[in-house]
Amino acid sequence: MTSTATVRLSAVRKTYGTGASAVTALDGVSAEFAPGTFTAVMGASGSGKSTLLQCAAGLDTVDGGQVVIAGTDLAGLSERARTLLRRDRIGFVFQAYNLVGALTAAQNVALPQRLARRAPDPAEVARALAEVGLSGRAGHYPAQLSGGEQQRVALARALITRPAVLFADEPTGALDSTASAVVLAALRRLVGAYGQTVVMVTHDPVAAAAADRVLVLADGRLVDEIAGADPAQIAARLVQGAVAA
Amino acid sequence: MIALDTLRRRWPSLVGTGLTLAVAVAVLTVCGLLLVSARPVLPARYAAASVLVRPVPPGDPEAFAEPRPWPVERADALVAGLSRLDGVRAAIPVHRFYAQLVRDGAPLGDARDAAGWSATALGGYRLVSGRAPSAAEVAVSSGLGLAPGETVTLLTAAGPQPVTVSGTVDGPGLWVADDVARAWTGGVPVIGLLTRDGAAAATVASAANPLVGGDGVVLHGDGRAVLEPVGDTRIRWIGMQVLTGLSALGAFVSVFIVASTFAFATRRRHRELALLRLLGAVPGQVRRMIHGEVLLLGLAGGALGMPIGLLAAAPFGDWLVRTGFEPPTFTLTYPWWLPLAAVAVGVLVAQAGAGAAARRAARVSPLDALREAALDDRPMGWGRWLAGCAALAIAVLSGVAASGADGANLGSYALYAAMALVTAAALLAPAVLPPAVRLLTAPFAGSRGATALLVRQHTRTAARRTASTAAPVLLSVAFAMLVGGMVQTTTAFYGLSKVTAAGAAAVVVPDGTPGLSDAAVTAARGRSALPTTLYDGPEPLPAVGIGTAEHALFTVATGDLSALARTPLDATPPAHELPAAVTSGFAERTGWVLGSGHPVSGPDGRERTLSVVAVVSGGPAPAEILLDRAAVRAMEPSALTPVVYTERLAASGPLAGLGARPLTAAAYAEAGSADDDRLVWVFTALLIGVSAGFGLLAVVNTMVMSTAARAGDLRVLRLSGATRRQVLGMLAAETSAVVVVGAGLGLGVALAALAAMARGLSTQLGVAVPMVVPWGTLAATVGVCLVLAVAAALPPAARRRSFSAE
Repeated sequence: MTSTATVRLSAVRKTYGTGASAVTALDGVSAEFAPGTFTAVMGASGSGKSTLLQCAAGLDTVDGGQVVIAGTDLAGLSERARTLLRRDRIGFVFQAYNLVGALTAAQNVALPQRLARRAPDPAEVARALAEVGLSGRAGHYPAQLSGGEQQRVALARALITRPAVLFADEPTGALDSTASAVVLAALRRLVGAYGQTVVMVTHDPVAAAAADRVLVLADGRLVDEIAGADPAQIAARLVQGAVAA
Repeated sequence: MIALDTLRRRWPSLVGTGLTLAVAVAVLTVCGLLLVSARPVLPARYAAASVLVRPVPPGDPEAFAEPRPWPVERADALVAGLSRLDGVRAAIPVHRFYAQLVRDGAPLGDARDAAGWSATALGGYRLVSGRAPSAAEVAVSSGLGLAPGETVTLLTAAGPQPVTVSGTVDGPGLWVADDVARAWTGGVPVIGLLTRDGAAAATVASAANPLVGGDGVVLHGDGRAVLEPVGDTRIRWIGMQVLTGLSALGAFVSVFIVASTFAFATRRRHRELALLRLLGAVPGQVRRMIHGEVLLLGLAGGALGMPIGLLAAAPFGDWLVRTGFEPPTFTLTYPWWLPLAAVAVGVLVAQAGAGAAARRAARVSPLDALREAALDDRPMGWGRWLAGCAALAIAVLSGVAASGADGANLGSYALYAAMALVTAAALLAPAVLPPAVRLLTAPFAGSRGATALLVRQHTRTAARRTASTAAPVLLSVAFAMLVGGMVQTTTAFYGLSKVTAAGAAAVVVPDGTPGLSDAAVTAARGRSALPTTLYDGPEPLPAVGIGTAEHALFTVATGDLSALARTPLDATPPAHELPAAVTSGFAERTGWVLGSGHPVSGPDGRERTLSVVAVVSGGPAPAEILLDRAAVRAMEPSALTPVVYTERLAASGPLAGLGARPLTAAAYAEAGSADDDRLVWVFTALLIGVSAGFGLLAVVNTMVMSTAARAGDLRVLRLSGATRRQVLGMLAAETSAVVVVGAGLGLGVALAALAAMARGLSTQLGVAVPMVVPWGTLAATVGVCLVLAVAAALPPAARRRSFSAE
């Protein structure tokens, strides 16, 4: 089972600052994200959930422990090698500023391929946009799209490279409930239909309920794991955890 | 190409930068066309001579001296040999000397020299009416409207004399009898060959070569153009300084503006660049993307600027001829490659400017895409401090160097100083500007209104934005002040110093003539020096002739000046020994000591031995070698005196009709002692105009960009209850504060450089030099900056009805 995990973190430590002002963001976190699973990471502000995502995605270096993405150990990789790994194996969706304002929806979706110096395949771009329900919006600029539509363009872009894992950081944080539901449904469908691995950081129990399981962080430690729960249950467990901590 | 796609949407913010590049390419195209067009032209008076022979010219083409002429005897021998060559119809030596026609005291016609009648054949000129001149006669151009038999006044180095018009000729110039011309000239500067029909010029030239040997240069075809007048060569050289100065300035200011625009744009796009990094762009790709954008921008600017430059070249060339930066023979040519080269340089300039921004963009961390807070202004690094201070030091040093230069060199040094100053200003601005704005707005700190508080806080917290808006103002003001003040300080001083050093209160200067004749010098009753040129081999040695009246002005270190006057004059053949005094500086440099003898050639080409009879350590020496005035006159019969220094303002009565006018010392200093000063002025005006023009473009550009970038800020202000009027008022106040501070700093930097230069001048010349500050230039520059900056800042804000974010 260990060897088949898409992303594996073992005893990861991350500290910001030095001396008295040092803050331990991750304090020995171990977690595995298996292929075709949808995991939500929750926790209060400052619990280390964003740091977990950044370390798991190879955006930030760790101070201790090990991160393996799709069989590649991130330790010792150069900035360039990590960039290339990110480009080829990892997709990102996050709260805001997801799209390049000067590019159309289709151009944004094709961006990762162009950065990788591969000729973008128009059919593939159209298919990716269709998958997120935006077939008619290919020529629109981000400023002409609603927040939910922008987020779905970002989803299509994250998927165009067929990444091993998709990291989402508060993907519904800036959206109203209707738009959130559409984006979450799109994420859910990707997991179900294409076996996409998704790791999503969120503070919204409703969003978390779309996931297969929920990891709860507090003070840089993994404190709880909830599987197949509805929003009310998740909210209740979070409150328990907060009281316990 | 990602660069093209992003540029397509962002172009409104880059219009200013693109326009700057367009102007730069236009300037480069104009200057380049004029530079390649400025070539020597064969004077029309030699057009019919297919082969021309002249003495060996000096090694340094920038000496601007005529080559040492052949002595008359040597020229006669050459003429005899050359006329016997196969294919040669005639070999004609040219005897050319100063002469001009005067009517009622005013110059008549453009001719300022005359030649022997035989020289008309070299120009292919023919008689239109009358006959060839004999003694006391002159042949004139038919264009003057004079008829044979009329009496006119001919002004020569001796003075005015009445002559009769013998005939008219279908070419420009004045001609006298050959033996008259021969008596006026010391040596022969050129021999023209008229070839028989069917004789190839090249064949004749190669036959002439062995005959002339090492004693001269045989010219044919296009090579004959080197015979253009030395004055034209010098004017072309000055023109070249101006044009290269303008090109360099255009390129430099473009680098500056592209650098500040892209630094600004990169900060604005930080989030977007981080997103690209997050999506897998390696740092090199981000850097290349910025360079790609700049390439497209440069090409667009070039496409706009090139045709403008092509259209503007002809009128600008005409203007240069009129102002005296190009000789009248100047004709514009259009090589096909030049506009392309100008565009290429424009693109390179843009790339150089964007280099720093591209490197900074490549360093953006992908993590920044996930962070909420905008990036704070980084404080200045030590590298930036160091570079800024170094640039400032170079600016001051260039200012000091400019104080020792004259003519077109002064303009060049002023330009270097200004360039270094621009760099220093750009580098140091973030450190210096915010405290300066705080100081400026301190008096308003206690006011109840929100405007003063907001202005203070905005400039305090956004040091780099404040710096990038104030920097172009600083550039415009400092440049205009420095160049203007530098030129005024030095020219005013030089004019005055010469007069006071000669112990004089007034002068007599040429009026419509290239110099003063002996008759004018006598009538002026003052002190003067007669310039001439000696030759050490082919190299010129400037010298002056002085009379006993001038001896008292000099401090003699060793020897005796009165020995100068004992030059034997009437000996036949002319005396071999030439007594001379040298300045102590010259003596130190060359090792010439009292009593030593040195072989030189006179202005007539004859060999002589210069014997040092005195070394002078002080005095108003216009050259480093002093001869007896009468000896100079004997060797060079048509030499002219540039100026006579008089104890009081000379009466104009005795000077009437002599081509001379009296001036007070002050008026002389103000008017400038030579044409060079006027050229320097025009040069200065050009430099100030171009730099200030670019600077104002940058002011508008950064103000528009900066207001657009602050849409979010302004929206928050509106939401907090500020009226539209208040927001605009705050913007206007902030803009004015930044402009005034930028102008104040520019003034400070310019004053420091000017003071350093005045001090340098004082030490160099041992007299207190007053610093001249061009307040008018300052007021005009600051005023224009203020109006443009406020006008540029408000519309983008006013247009947004709700100040909504982009």
